[in-house]
Amino acid sequence: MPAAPPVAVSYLFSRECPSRDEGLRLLEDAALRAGVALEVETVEVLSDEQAERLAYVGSPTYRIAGEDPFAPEGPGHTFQFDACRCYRGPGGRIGPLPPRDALASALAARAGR
Amino acid sequence: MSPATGDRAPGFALRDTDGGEVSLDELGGAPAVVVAFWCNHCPYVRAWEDRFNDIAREYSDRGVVTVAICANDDVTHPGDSFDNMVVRAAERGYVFAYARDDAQEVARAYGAERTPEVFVLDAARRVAYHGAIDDATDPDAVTTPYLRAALDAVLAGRAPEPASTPAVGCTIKWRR
Repeated sequence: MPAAPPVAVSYLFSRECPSRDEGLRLLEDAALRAGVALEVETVEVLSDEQAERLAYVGSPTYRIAGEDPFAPEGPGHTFQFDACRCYRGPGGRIGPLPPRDALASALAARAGR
Repeated sequence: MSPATGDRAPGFALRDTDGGEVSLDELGGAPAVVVAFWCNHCPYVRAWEDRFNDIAREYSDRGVVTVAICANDDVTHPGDSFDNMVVRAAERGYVFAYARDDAQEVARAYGAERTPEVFVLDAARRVAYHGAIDDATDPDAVTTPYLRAALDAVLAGRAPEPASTPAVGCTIKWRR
């Protein structure tokens, strides 16, 4: 049986984001947990124009096969290259990264597992 | 550059979300003052928000005054506008003063770079501690409560140890 193709993930971040490196490690960890191979593209967002073009809502952002599994709801988001991003964790806690299990689930769903 | 431990802290007089003004000079009797650079939107602030509010409440019983200052540019980050600060303070039941540094001069005077970033000032308003609230964004993972330890030291007349730690959080959004 041929190996499943890797899941393409774009990892968008801002240079000053303190979660930048940890977010990438979290992605690798989640992929291991999900048993999914990754093809990761890292994208540093350097300007508001680039943020607008990418509809970038903050650092870090995961796009799994082009889709953001944690996309904030509703209109009205501004696109700033230095924007931070909040994720909701267990019990409604807010933090700078998504829960690992939620990210693993999103990867597994994309891989059809 | 931030004032060093032992340096006198820069003064300020800023409007706060209660509709008044908070001035460092007018906190004369407080045995310690916490000055925290803060904002509405940062995930790190939100991760620490409840813990920080708890600390402010508990230590207010011992005379400590806590002032959080939002200096973020509200043009690029409208979620940090004064009106939204008022809403946030009410929604979250802030027990500390929440002040707006529109000119960003206070943040620059303190050499602040991140949110949250805290300074503990002693009774003479010298910097006794500068850095993080504690060592984990996850409240269940905290092993060293830096801010509490610093306040306990100052209130006991001792120098905090450590006197500084790296502040972990989003960068202050400077006006462009």
